[in-house]
Amino acid sequence: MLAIRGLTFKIGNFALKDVNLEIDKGEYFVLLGRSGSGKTTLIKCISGLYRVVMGNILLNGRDVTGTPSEYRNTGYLPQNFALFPHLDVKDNILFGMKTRPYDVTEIEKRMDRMTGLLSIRDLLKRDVGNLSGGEKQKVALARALIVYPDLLLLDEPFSSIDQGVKAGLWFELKEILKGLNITVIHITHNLDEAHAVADRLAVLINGRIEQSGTKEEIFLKPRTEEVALYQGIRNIYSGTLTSVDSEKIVIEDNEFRIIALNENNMKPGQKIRFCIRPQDIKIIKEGAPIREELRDNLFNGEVVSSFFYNDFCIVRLKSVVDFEMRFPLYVYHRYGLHVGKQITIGIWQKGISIFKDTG
Amino acid sequence: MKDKIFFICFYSFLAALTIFFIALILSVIPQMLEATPVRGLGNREILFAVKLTLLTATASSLIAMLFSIPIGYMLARYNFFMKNFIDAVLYLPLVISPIALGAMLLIFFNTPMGRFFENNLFRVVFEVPAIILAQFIVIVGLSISLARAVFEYIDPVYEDIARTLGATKFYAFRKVILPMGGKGLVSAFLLTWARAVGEFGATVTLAGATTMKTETLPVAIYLSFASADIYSVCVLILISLSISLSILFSIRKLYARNQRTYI
Repeated sequence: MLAIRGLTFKIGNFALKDVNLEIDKGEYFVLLGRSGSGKTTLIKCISGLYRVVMGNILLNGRDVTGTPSEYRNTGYLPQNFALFPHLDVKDNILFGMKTRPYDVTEIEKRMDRMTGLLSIRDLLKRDVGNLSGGEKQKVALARALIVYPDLLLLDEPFSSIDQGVKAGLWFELKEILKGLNITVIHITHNLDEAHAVADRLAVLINGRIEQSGTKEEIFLKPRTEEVALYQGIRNIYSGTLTSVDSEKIVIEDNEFRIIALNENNMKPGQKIRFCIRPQDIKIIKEGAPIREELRDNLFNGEVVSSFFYNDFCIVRLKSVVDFEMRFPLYVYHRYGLHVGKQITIGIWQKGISIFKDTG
Repeated sequence: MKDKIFFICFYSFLAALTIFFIALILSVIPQMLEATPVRGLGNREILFAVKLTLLTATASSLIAMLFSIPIGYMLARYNFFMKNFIDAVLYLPLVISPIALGAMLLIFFNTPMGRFFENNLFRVVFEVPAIILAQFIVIVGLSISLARAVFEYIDPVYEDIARTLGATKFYAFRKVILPMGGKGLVSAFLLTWARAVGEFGATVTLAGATTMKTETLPVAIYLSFASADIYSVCVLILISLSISLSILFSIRKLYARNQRTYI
């Protein structure tokens, strides 16, 4: 449906570098990245607001690289929704219908459908300055959808929505857009938001797509150190492969020995970097049987600090190396993970991601 | 305590300048009551000067806005070849003295191009069009800078949205940018118009100071002053003040009337 091939684009001191993406019809695709990573630049290239001279953008098989924005039929929802302040809600929604020759019945039919779908019929006569964040988002969405775009581009659509209502709106938005079978590119820097709405996603770092794939591929197996760091993984280490067989590899350093799954066709003697997701480090209960996938990597250590969030906590452990672990709050209380507590941990082998050969 | 000193200092500056301006205005009235007319400035002449001033200031301000809206928009939104140089040239009227501008215009109409213009289109020098041209040249730098500020204040994302909704650049400009900048542009027009009303240097150089022909309010003040007619000077000053104050009040009201301000 949307194909981006070798897109390189420079603006000021920033550049998008060799971006390649394929997005299927009806897919909800999330572009993840920090502020300044080039997400908005990329969607402005896709929508034709920036003129691309290197690379190609194909929409429904048609090369639209040089097509002006007004002929691309892409809907765009910017971060602040940018509702036209001189128009009321109804005229904002109808703006796109007035740029093209539609007959009155068609306009009314679409208006009725969109306002019904988004439950905003009672807002039509309101001034846009008096709407809440959620209402503004729905009006902006109706304005973008009423022209039946081939592709909808959402630029941080929840950034100005109150934290408390965000999560509910993630699912509502996805449900509405899935119902319309519309292809969506949603950009965000919020990992939870990406996890909640994405069918597939890509991680953009410094203008380059570092990794793209399914949620499982991105969140369980970060392909590069940058992607791991972006996800907040701090358990990143270096080591040398001392033994490799068809199933497992042994990574050793002066201080530790870790056994991981052989997923990358590695060779002995290779120096590598790897990471362990904090949620894949488990506490081993004394006297209880140890699950097979944890058995190879057992370490003893002492809890040195803990940080609490709404429904989970981060615990730091001093062992042969420092480990950062993430547990639900009940685990913290069940094991009494106070500072100074001695515990044994096991590392879930599938949670170890090997990055690359460092020479 | 420090806050009090801060407010006392700042309010002192405000009060000093306001009192000085009011004293200036009030000093005109007793002078007018004491003086006797010398030049014999009649109602007809005053009315002519007022009418001519309003007419020429309106015409020159409208023409200035006609140029300033597209130029201000281009300068606010786009980078183009020699932009900095063009920018500097357009702002020259703001820094060059009006008399120098008037002299430059006069010299221009003495060149073959200027003579061709006057011989084949219409007479300018020492005629009413000279007043409009002189006012236009003096105010256009100001109106461009005001229009540019209005457009720079409008987030380009509104145009981006309009374009993704099928609007051409011109349609987006007409239906989004102009309405959003409407109030700012009206203010720009009024300020420019007020400046044109007070224009003297370039006008007197290019259009001359002919009674009942090219006699705008500032020119009439100059002529009365030259003939030591303090009474007429005071009358004309009060008329100019009334016009200027009503314009400045309108601008303030335009912003105060509605809280929904976009710029």
